[in-house]
Amino acid sequence: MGVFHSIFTKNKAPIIALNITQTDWSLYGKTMSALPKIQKGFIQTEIKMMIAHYYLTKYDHKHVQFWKGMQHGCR
Amino acid sequence: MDVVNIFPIRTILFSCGILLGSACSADIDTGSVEIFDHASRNILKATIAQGERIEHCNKQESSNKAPKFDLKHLVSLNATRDDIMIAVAFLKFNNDFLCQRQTRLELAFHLGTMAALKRELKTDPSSIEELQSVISYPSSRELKFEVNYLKLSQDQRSYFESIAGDKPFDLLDAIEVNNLTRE
Repeated sequence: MGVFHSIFTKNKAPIIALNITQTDWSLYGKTMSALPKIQKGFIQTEIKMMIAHYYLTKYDHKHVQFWKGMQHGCR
Repeated sequence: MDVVNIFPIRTILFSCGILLGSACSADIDTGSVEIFDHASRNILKATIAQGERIEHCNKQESSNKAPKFDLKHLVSLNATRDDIMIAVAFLKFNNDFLCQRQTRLELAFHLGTMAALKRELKTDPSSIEELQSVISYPSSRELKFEVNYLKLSQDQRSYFESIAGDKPFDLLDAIEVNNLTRE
């Protein structure tokens, strides 16, 4: 998003062309493919915390089953 | 702890915010743009490293055996079911953190650098600061696990840590092998 913003906004056509050629698209592409892994990692951690929470506090079988299902779906 | 509270804004913020660090570079002078570009590049590289590390830690979690505590030893330590569950929960998330620690700290450092740069150049650093706090600090839930764990006796903690080690393990496997399920 920032890359697109810095390339296209407040710039004239020749500068846009220069920015496109100078942007490291390979690095940008690799980063974009890393983001879902990080997001997924955050979501998985939250799910595991919910499982641990329901085991540690008042045990709720339905909730535990729900979060186990979520974890299974998020593998 | 309702469903609505589970996926906090941080995950969404993360996906959108990671590249916003470079977003304001069009508003500042050419010399600063170069510095911003350099800092942005560091964030991109650290993000890639963090993604790869998460994948690595997930593989370790799947391949490592869950820690199994010895029943006789637990009895001698007067450890209750709740004590064991508290230990399993804390050590699980702590070991996950230890596995990702280095790359997470590097990403947090580069985000902090970008936030400092933005402050210095009088641009709004709030989006980067929020992102940095998500990466750097444990959530209140994680801290609660730690507080509960620290209430266990030193002997119990030493034993649990000696068995669990510092490698990631699967939470559900650990619950199962230690007969902590309550079906």
